Amino acid sequence: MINGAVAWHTFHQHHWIRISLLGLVLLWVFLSAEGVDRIPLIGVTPFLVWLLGSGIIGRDMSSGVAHLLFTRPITRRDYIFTKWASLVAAVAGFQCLILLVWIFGKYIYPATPHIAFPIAPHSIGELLKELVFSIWITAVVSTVLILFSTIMTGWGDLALLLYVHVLVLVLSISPLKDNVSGFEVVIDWMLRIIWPGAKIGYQYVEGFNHSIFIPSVGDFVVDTLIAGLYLFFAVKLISRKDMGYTNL
Amino acid sequence: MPNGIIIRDLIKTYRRGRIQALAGIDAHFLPRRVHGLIGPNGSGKTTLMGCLLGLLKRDSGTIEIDGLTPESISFKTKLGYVPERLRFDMWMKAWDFMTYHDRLTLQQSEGREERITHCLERIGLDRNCWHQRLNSFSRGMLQRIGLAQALLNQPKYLFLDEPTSGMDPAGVILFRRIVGEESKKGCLVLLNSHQLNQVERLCDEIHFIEKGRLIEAKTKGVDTSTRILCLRWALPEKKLRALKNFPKNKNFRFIEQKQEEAFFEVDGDQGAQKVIGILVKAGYPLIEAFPDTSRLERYFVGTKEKLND
Repeated sequence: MINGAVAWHTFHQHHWIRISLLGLVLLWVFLSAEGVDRIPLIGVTPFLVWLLGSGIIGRDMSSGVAHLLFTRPITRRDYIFTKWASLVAAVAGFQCLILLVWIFGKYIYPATPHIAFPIAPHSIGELLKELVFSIWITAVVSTVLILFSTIMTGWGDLALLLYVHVLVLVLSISPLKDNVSGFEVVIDWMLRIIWPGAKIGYQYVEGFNHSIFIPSVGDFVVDTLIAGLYLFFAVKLISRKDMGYTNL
Repeated sequence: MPNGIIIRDLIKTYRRGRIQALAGIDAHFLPRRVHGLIGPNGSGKTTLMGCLLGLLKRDSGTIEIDGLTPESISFKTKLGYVPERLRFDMWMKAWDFMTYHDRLTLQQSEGREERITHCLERIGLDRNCWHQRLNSFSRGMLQRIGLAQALLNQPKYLFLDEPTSGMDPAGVILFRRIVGEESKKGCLVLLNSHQLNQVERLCDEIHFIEKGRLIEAKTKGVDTSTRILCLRWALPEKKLRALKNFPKNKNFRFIEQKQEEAFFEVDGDQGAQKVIGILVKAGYPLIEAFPDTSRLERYFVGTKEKLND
């Protein structure tokens, strides 16, 4: 089901741009208010998925490389599945890297000994649990990207990141949230356009006297089912597409 | 026993049926032959090729390729394709590009390097370019590498869409040689080209497409019975009238004269020999005699005129 050549191609495509962007994410993680004091995996997972995967299919379509690719012995279903698996593997690899850097910063070389709000060190079990949960989130969020990248050409799926960003930003504006009746419900449904299982989560950051809104996934079974459906729709969509020059 | 490609009542439309690209094509492309597709722009040649490659979804009709569908994996493992628009992964180096496509053909990794080297040598790409990025390649070089990737899996079906546009003369000659070699090996070659001379030279069968329909299919063997002979000489003006009044013969017929060239329709080699013999005996200062390679052009124009009438 996984095509090695397509996986290789996916890992190498635009890798310099992506690695540069990922470097910026790493900087953001470690220069944030919490520094290395909070395991940063889950918070950055959607960004990692988008930065590594935007245009993953749309670029192939708009650049025309898919035209030649589909004359090769690969089914469109295998193509979609390989793209998804490659993306999950790439993000998971990067998450492991973040975790290693985090462990290094936290236990081996604590560069920030003056942390304002120290918390108890995490056990290895907790770290692994966090990693597994992050990889599951990656697998789920990647299906959103795969579906939208199949619908939109070029880097169009990158716009989705902006869309979510704007929603989260609007949610964080407390006067709106407090004074506009039903505002949260509207935003909730706007998020559900992208992910039907979405729920508004609350995260309380210690030391800061305010709460922020984060979109969070629902429960494991529902999300896994939705992810499966998204992959199924992506396969259906790409199977119905003409790969002629007229699309380019 | 291979049957080649059998197409029955193939219909393909775009924009939800508003544009009809193929309006019921019936054709049989015999195996081990070189087939040429000719027709004006927008006639449906590329769409037909797209359907045969399984890239375009047909509205109705069937395509059988030795009993397989165009979408089947078994067919695609034996397929080589050179696209008209060279939309390759330009960030790749030539060698990596070939490796990628060799892996895509599902061939064993054993012997990969030899296969790639053989193909790159075959298409005459300079060794210095093997490890250069494709974005530094000229169009002609991209055409060559496009042909090389199509040959990687020793194809049984070779589909070529305008394969020599932008190629230098040496490349064109090399291309013709490769197509000839592949055909001899038993490959079914489908050539879509606007270069009528090339189609005429290479193809065993020529399929004329107009407005999404296959108007006519001509076999080279039939066509050679009457051919156009071009004679070139330094013709004195006073003899021009005499040439116009050249006696009619069952083996040849005077067609026209353009400055220092005259065209005769001759019946096979015998007709050609006769007309040359008569002219030499009559004292015409003959410089050279050669078959008119533009006869497909005449046929093309003639068929279009017939259709317009």
